[in-house]
Parts: sequence; C-alpha cells; structure tokens
Amino acid sequence: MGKKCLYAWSLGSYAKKIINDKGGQKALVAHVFDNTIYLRMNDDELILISTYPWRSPFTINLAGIDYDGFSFKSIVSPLQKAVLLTDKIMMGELSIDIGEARVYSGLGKPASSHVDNNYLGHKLRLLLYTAGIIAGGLRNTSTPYLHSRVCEYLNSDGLLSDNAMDSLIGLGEGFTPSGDDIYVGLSSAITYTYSYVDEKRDVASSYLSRIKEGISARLNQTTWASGMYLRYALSGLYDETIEKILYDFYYGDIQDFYSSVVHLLRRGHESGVYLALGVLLGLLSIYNSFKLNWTNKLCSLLIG
Amino acid sequence: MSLKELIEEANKKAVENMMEAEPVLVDVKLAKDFIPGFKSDMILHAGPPITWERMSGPLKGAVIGALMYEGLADTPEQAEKIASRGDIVFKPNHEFGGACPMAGVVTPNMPIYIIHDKKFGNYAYSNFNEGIGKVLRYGAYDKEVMDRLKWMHDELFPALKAALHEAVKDKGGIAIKPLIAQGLHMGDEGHNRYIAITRLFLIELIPYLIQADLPKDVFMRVYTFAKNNNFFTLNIGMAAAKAMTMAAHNIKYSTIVSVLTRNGTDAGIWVSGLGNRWFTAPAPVPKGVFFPGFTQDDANPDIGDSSITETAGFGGFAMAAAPAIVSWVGGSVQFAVENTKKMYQITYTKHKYFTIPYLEFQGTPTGIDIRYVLKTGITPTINTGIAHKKPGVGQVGAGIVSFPFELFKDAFKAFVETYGA
Repeated sequence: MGKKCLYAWSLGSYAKKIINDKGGQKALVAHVFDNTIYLRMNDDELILISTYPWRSPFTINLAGIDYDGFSFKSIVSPLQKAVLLTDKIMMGELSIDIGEARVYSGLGKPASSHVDNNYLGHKLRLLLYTAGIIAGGLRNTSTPYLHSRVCEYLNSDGLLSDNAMDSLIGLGEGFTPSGDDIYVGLSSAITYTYSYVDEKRDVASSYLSRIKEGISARLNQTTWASGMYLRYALSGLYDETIEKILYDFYYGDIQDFYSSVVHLLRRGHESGVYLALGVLLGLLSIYNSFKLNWTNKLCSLLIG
Repeated sequence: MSLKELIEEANKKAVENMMEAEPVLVDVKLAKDFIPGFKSDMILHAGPPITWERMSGPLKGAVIGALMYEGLADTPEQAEKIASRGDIVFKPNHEFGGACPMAGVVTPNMPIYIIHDKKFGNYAYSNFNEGIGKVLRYGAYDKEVMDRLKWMHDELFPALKAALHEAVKDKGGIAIKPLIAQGLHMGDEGHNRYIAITRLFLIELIPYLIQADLPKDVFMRVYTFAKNNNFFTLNIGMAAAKAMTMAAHNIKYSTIVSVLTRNGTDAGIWVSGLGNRWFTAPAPVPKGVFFPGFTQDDANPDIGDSSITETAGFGGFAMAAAPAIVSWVGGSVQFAVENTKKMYQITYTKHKYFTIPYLEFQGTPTGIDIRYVLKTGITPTINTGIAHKKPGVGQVGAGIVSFPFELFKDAFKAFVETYGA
C-alpha cells in the first residue's frame, strides 16, 4: 500500500495542547477501528482520530474521506508508533495534516446565558422517558443484569456510593462498558453544570469532589480507553454530542434538546443510550428538588 | 404492570396479530358499495392527507384521470378546474381500511378487491392493477388509460366477481397469505416482484373463472390480461398486508409501525399505540433503474401505499428472497441480502410464516419498531415504482428508497408525551 495523506478539519484544544507540550514524541496506536484510531501517550493521555463528524477537545476530525469503502484498519495497525508534530501526525504509511484544522474547545455557554427554569422539568421528563424506553428495549443478553444493578443502587444509596461504583464501573459488554458510559454521562453533566451554570455551581461542586475521588480510584476496574473517557469527563472534556444535550438542557428550546438527545442515543452500539442515561442521572442529582418520583419511573422502564 | 412490560406486551400482541391474520380475498365491489360514507364528491388517494395545491404531478394526473373516469369532467383542463376550486374532498385510503399503489386514487365507481381477515374480522381493500408504464396510478390519463379502466370496470370486474362468488361457495374465498409465503420461496418478495405469486394466484383463480361459465372470449381476455401483468396480484397482496397491519393497529402502548406510506409530496406513518395520528415528513426521491428515455431528473418523490407490504414484513424487507429483483429496481444481489439483514435491526421479530430460503429459512424482518429506528438511525428501506414528476406521463422506472428519520423521531416524541405521564 502506498502512502495515504489525510487532512484534519477540527483539532481539539486539548489534543493540540498535548501535541504542543509533547511534540516530536512518539505515541502508541492503542486501538484501530474502521472510523477511529486511539493514540496513547505515556499511559496517561488519549488522542482520538476520527472520521465521525462530532468533535471533542481530545479529538482530531478528518475531512475528505470516502466513507463507503474507507477503513483505518487497512492502513494502520495496533501497536504501531505514531509521531506527533505540530503540523502533522505520522503512523506508518498514514500522514495526517493538522496544520489547517480549526481548534475546537467546546460549546461552553451562550454569551447571554440565562437558564429558563420553566422548561427544565419538561426536558428532564422527555430525557427520562426517551432514554428509558430505548434502554428498556435493548436486546443485549447482559442488559437485564446491568439494569437491575443500576436500579438496585438508585433505590438504595445512589450511584455515587462506593458499592455502586465498585459494581458498575467496568460492567457491561463492548469497548466502553455500559456502566462506564453511565458514569461518563453523569460526570459530564456535573462538570458542565459546575463550569457553565452559575446558579447551580454550588450543588454541582458538592458532587464533583465525590465523583472525582470515587471514579479516579476505580479506573483500574475498566479498560484503558474507557478509563480515559471517564478521566476526561471528570476534567470537563467530553464530545459535543454530550455537551450539546447539556447546552440545550440549560439554554436551548425543547425541540433542540430532544434532537440532541436523539443524536446522542444513536451513537455506538449501545454507548449512546447509557451516556444519555448517565446525563439524565447527573441532571437529576443537580435538580433533585423536582418531585418526579423519577427513580421508580426510570426503573419501571429499565427493568419492568 | 410497568411501562416497559406494557410496551413489550403490546408489541408482542401487535406482531402476533400481524402474523396470525388470515387475509382472504372474498369479493370485488364498486368502491361506493363497500366503503362507508363514500360520497360522489370524494376521491381517496395514497399516503397521508394532502390538498390539491400540494399534490405532486402524478397524483394530480391520477385525480384528473379519475374525474374523467367518473364522467365529472370531459377534459383534463375541466378536471383540473374542478379539483382546484375545492369541489372534491380528498382523503387517504388508509383512513378507510385501504392501501393502493402509487397515486392510489379510488373513486366511487372503481372496482376494488375486498379482503376479509378471517382471524380478526377486519376488512381491507385495494383497487385493480392496470399493469406498468402509462397507467392511472402513475398519473397518466390518455385514451389508452381511460379505455383500459373502462374495460376493467365493464368486463374484468364482473368476471372476477363471478369467479370469487364460486371461490367463496367452494372454500370461503382465496387465502392470500399462503400465496405470499410460497412466492417468497419462488423468487418474489411481494412488492415489486409478483411473478410467482401471480402465477400461484391464477392457479387458484382459473377453476373458478371456468365454473363462473364466462363466455370464452371474456375468459380469454381476463386470463390474458392477468397473465401478462406481473403486477396483477400486487394490489391483492397490498390489501392483504393492510388487513395484517390493521390487526396490529390501535394497540395501546405499542411502538410498532402500522402504516408506512407516501403521497408523492409527503411520507407518513402511523404507530399502533398512537392510533390514526399522522406523522409526516417530505417524501424522498427514489434512486433506481429508468425506462429508456428517462433519467433520475424525471423522478417524482416517492408515492404510494405499497410500503404496506414492508410494514407487514415482506416486500423490500424480504429482498433476500428475490435476487432477480435487482434487474428491476437496481442495486446488486448483495444489496438485496444486506437490506433484509439490516431491517432485522429495526424490527421486533422474525415472521413465523414468511421465510427466506437463502437465509436458512429465517423469518422475514417483521414489525418496524420506532424504538429501534430511533436507536440505530436505520430507517425502513423499500423498493418502489418511480413515477414521472409531471402529470400525464406515467411510470418511468423502479428503484430503492429509505423513509426519512424525522417521521420516527416525531412519532417517538409523541409516544413519550402520550405515555410518559
């Protein structure tokens, strides 16, 4: 196979920082899928190279791909070395030009930020039933067990308890176990609220230290890549499909919010569903004053 | 019972009913004699509700032809004037228990097939099939079209009525589900390929045509018309599919799609648990194989109730059973197989009776579930005839089309708002 040169249209701000700080160093190709490459640096950083359109602060999005036949698997192999330069990334026969890419650092919040509290209850209900009904219909064989464990903790000492994290982090099938996806969504909701919603910063803060401590202590329960998503989410780094839900929850209209929920649900095999459930649980923690009787409602959708 | 259990129970019942329905062809009648409340100023059409102003070329063409057929207009210009000044009430077939291909236009004096579901008691109808090319259902209305429709009314209709009278006396009518099941094993899929099913139907019908003691020349004209029209039984199959999906409709809590249709401007769906509420989005334009002299630029957005076949678990969802269909609708044999496999991801179950030899006799994907469409982003992909976008031209090809995601997204939101109290 000849050399393949691709171009990035988006460069995550955190990925740019890693490259600038550690430029010229080598990274390891940790995982290769048809549309994504996971680059691992010094065991403690992840850069994602993706042909998918959604951006994140740690993702490099590529342009000009022939989607019908394209697969990274035919170009790059796991355990290959990658060289990261400020204008280029090289892996074997693949070269990615990042010099012209726009830097993405997240959506943040609108300039004139104002949370319209009138619709938050309606949005929570919409998210609860949408994610809950879809999750309840999943046909994976491990789904009933996962759901029963989640509901067991929701009905006892909560998902932030040691027992819940011991049990759920690393639980589930797939590249990112579903239990981890829940905590990525939950952490994202809390860190976004802490960073961008002034009136709820104190509430979010009270949860933030707990989840940082609890999740960080359990990253060895799961895979490296999934653990990196968890670690990044705790630092306020997550992709725009998650951030868009949170942005629209606080600042968007109901139709935009619903569209963001549906967009996230479609991600991955099942990841999107559990990320959405995690976002829901994070938001319900922040807004626990809503009298939704939500635990019973959610569990009636998850386990019957 | 929890909402999850209620949804599961409802969906199970919906697909069970769909699969266990027993559609039997029992009669042919004039539409005005079967459809309750069918008035002389009413025209039924395919797809979701639409006004004259928003109708596409082929639907307008079919309405023009239908008004001339009914004797309400002498010229296309006169018909257009009648339709545009609001003298005619337009209603979807689906709201009256019918499913008719392409424009799907039905007027009071058109003959229709009557299907009786012997299991659940529902009745469904469809109009008669005219063949391919220049035909009313594709928006053509010239003399050839009008002459054929007249013959169908004057000779085909009474001949079939007499034959079906004999069939009902003998065994209660002609059961359609076994013909579709057998057709899937003989290279048909039951939407755009009815070659085997039409032969199987004729084997059933001919003895009764003989028993009906028709004049020999009438018999020969009816037989020749039927045997030369590979789509002769499409409309019967569609009415059968409508009966099957009616058995799955209006089941509280069910997320199963019970109508999937388009009118040349909009696509529309019904969801069982949401009753007769329409969810609509712009109809997509099919991609396909065109008759000589026509191109993709001539294609109208998708039209017809014929996607009721996929709704009932055959048609495009069973393309893996019909490799030869790709010569008609385009694509490759591999695509046909892949499409069937993909549809399993958005359907509730595999059909008990409709099976696909090439897939080790697996049941066809059955019961489109809006939950799975929402989760996967995969929408129903069907095969379809392609009408010319201008009125009066007719069919210009056949192809493949996928329904818009927005239909299912909107329906799911309505489901949440209805049941998420």
